[in-house]
Amino acid sequence: MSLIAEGVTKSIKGKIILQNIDLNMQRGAVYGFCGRNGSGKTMLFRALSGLMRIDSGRILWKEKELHKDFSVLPSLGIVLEHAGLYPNMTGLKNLSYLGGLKKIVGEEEICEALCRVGLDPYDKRVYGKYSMGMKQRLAVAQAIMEHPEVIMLDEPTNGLDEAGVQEIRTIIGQERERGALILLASHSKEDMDMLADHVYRMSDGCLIGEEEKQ
Amino acid sequence: MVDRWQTKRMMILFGVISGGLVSLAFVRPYEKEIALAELVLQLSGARGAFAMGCTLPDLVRFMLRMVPNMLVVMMLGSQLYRHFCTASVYVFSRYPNRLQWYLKSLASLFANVCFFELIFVTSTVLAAMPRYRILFSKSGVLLLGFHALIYTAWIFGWVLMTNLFAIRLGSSRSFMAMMTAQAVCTATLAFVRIFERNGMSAEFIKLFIEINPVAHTVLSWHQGAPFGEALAHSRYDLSPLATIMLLIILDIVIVLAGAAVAGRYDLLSENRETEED
Repeated sequence: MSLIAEGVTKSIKGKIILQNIDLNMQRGAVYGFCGRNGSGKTMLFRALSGLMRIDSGRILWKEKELHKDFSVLPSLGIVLEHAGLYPNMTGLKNLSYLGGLKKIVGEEEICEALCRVGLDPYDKRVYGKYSMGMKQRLAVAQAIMEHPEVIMLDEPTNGLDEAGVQEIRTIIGQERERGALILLASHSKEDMDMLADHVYRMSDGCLIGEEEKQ
Repeated sequence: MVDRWQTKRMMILFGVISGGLVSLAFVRPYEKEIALAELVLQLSGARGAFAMGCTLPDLVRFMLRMVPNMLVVMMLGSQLYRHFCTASVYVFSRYPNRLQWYLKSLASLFANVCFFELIFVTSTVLAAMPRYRILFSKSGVLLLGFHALIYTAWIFGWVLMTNLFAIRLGSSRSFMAMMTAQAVCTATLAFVRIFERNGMSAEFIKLFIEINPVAHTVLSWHQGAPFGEALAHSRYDLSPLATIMLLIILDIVIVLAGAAVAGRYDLLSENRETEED
């Protein structure tokens, strides 16, 4: 089962933000994407997930085409930088609301996901009062709680302390073992060295290099 | 939008406080008793039994009276915008039917606005009761319903507009733009006095008022069935039915524009709370 991008191109207001992207990614592996700010990593995740339409090319998941056979990847967990959750709700309430949209997980799985990222499911504080690290952990919890087949993590270790970074790395490893296809965007060379099976370098919306690790 | 009880609590608190304050500040009969119809008219600018005029003091008083509505627009508009921002990633990655999600969100918003308006008018009447003897009548109750209806439609439309503009401008700038638009609409009513002084025709003045949406929120400028005597001192003879239709049509246009935005992937992915990398 693979996620394939063929000639994916996208421009916004005349500026090309993704140019002729070709990818072939398999489940049970971590694909790292690195590059400077504005290189197109987040936009690539938006395009591959279906959250953003592309101008040309196509994206295939299990041999079905995105935006023709389905509008977003059917089994997806995603963390995007700067995308917040509901500030006046606790972590558990936030995840319960999101979990209620698909209704494939109950409170037990949601609490388990919160515990996995090191958050107390019964913490009374609302999301708006969370520290940056706690917000990041909650975002990761919402991405993994439904055990998705594809997980896209955009800078998942941003704002985390050393222990938090280790916990997120462990989770990424566990999800890979479970058989998830993981896309990881990170500035951290250590993240790439430790976690990624393949590393793609991006610049100005193009893939400029690929490295396969042993 | 999502945490219903929290929003309801907020609407109750704000409805009671603002309804009470508006009642204390604006509901003042000449005698120790007040007809319900007169009380309702005073909620939208009338003074005593007299219809609001277009003088500067009247317009300033009217704008002050609109402050609670503006604050509700700010609260619900920014809440709806945050709802859109969260949805742009975490909801739409799970719930691809954007239109259905949008309509559900609007239904919830509409219920909250109705709820606020209900609490607001009830609080205004209750706050007047210990001070004056209120004379209830069928036309007064109808006028109260008319007031609640047009202000619900009014607030609902502005909340949606604030949310739509926030997608481009950010929530604070969008709110400022909406408030400026309302203030400009209200200020242009001052031209009516100039037109009247210069002997412009009544038809022209009526048309000038009819095309200004703010004018339709002044109940004492309306006249016609089914309010009868309650609107006997109308100043500009606006039709209640035409006002309801106008506000409903405006709301429908804004809802449709919002539906188009919710369906546009690029617009929502470019929201101001999500930086691109």
